[in-house]
Amino acid sequence: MSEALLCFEEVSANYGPYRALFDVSFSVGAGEVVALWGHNGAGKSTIARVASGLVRPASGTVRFKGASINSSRPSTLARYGICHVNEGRAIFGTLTVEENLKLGSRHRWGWRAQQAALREAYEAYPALGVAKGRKAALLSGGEQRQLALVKAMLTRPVLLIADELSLGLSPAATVATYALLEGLRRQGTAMVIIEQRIEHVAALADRGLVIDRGRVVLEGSVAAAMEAMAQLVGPQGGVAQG
Amino acid sequence: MPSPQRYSPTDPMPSYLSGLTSLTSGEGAAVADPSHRVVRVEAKALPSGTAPQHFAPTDPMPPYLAVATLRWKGIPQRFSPTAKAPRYLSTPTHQPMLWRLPLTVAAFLAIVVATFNLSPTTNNSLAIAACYVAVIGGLSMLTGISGQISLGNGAFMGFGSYATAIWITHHPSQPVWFAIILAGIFGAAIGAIVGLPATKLRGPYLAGATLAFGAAFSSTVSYFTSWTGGDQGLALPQLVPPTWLVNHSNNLILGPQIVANNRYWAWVAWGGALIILLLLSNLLTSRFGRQFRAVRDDDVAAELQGINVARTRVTAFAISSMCAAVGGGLLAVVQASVSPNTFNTTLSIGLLASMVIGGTGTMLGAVWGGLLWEFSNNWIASLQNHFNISPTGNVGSQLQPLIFGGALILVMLLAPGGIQRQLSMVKAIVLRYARRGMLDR
Repeated sequence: MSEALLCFEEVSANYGPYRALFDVSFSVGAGEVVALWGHNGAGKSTIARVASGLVRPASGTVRFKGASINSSRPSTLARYGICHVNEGRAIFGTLTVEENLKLGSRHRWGWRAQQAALREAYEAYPALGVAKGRKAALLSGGEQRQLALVKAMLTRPVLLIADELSLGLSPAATVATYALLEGLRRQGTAMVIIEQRIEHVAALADRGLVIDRGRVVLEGSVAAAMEAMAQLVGPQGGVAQG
Repeated sequence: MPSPQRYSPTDPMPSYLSGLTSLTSGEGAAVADPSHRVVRVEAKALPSGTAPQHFAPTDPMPPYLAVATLRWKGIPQRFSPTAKAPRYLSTPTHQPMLWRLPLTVAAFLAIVVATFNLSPTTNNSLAIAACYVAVIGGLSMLTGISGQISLGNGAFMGFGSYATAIWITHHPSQPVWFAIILAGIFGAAIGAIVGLPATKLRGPYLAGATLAFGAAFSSTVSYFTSWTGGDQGLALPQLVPPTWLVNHSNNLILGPQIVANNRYWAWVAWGGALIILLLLSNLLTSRFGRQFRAVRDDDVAAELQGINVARTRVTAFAISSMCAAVGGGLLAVVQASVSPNTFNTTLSIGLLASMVIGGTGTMLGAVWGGLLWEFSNNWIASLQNHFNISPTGNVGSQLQPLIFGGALILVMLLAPGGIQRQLSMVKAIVLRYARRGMLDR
């Protein structure tokens, strides 16, 4: 690829004394969809947090469009188009659905532009339009996840980092959620998708990345990554040795 | 949090095993761990071309705040083009200035009419209550909307009072409203400085920090005697109605007693308080209000949404202390004096209690809270008369905090939304019965 959108260069990160990432290097090109696979606690979510600025790398460099973002605030990165939908807490419970969406489109100045953004969201997802006055915490789990994604879409992200989108969702809701992601992909949004259910991402992703114990084990095609993942899971059924 | 068992023997040894007990987070811990190569990467700003066209790299906060506060238009949601939801699902109408201003003017006129039917003492109490209403409005925004607790708002009020008093003493020819506005700006600056810990401290820790600030106020003021008059405080010239108002009422053959001093004080104080409440409620339904609530709900998600959480918290703190300073300035003007002992910790905690009893996070709740805090003085005085308790005795002097503490507990247990929630529940019930009655007919 010509120029990487997001680039990790030997990035290490830790939570206090616990080191979670060891010299992780990979890159995501513009419009590319990369899936991160690995066990629980392998460091996938930490990669997402480092990319969105929630965790500062202890060493190494994270680059976005070529510039180091090691010391940038998450809010600054969000303004530059990195949108991190994190596990289960990407919506604001006491705000109504409409207010959540307005927060998503808050960079569009003026009442008219904002109404246009809302209309766009409601036309695409009429269920949200029906529930627009309800507190977001009162929505069902699937609706909340959908709201989080639509809110993310309204920010027109350059890079979407989706962490465990299908967590606790019914199969139907998961399918609907991934249909949303497919739409985003067609708009040219680059994505980093963290997912336990490999089969959902396999159709969407361009490349796969297998993470184990804070290191990148394999970076390659989806098929290769799936194979590596199957080996990694092995007969223990997902319990890491060590 | 990764577990220690994830480390294999080839991994660098975690610091807690190598005898280093540094438990600090972030890069500091990495430095303490000699087995790790730590590279500090220089902070380099993103090139400006990186941002998508529709993003402002940063919000120039003050002008946007002004626009959000004074914003005139803005259409209630039921008239918005996206309004397709059934009525019972739609959000409460967020009225902008255009809709709120007439209501505020009506409230002011109601106060004016009321002052003609009340005794001078009651009018005086009404004026002082308005000062507390302004303070509680700001506090209510801070606690109910932004989710931070301040036990120092009595001190912010004191800062406003003293700023107004000192300005008026040194510049007697300047108008009073100018001194109050200056006090507001001064209060906002002080609040922004005191609010800086709010970027790091949460809940009880922030409350403790502001409590220390509030407790330090009166002794600090006593120390700077040459400016503040020490323990005696400062005396101001009494606020008198402007001559044009008196002349006007004379011309209308209403007589000068129409604009008696007590009445005029109530008008001025309620005018100020209602303006504060109007601007606050306008601000809270704007994008800033949404940001405050988003930060209150979940600061991590808010940060990921592009909201600068630290700045939002400090802004809320500064606005709250500005309201407190304006309330304090009004109090100085109405009472024509300031003394350091007024702005003690009891006042700060009493204001917080009144806010909860009135209804946290609502501007009408602030009105009930302010009225309750001031008029409870009269009720407590009559209670002391009735039970022959000395007002300066051990029990008598602590009766107000005692009663408010008890009321606070009762409200928290029985009616967490305060008076305002109870009133709106009654209103909902009445409306439901009224609608049902209309359907029956």
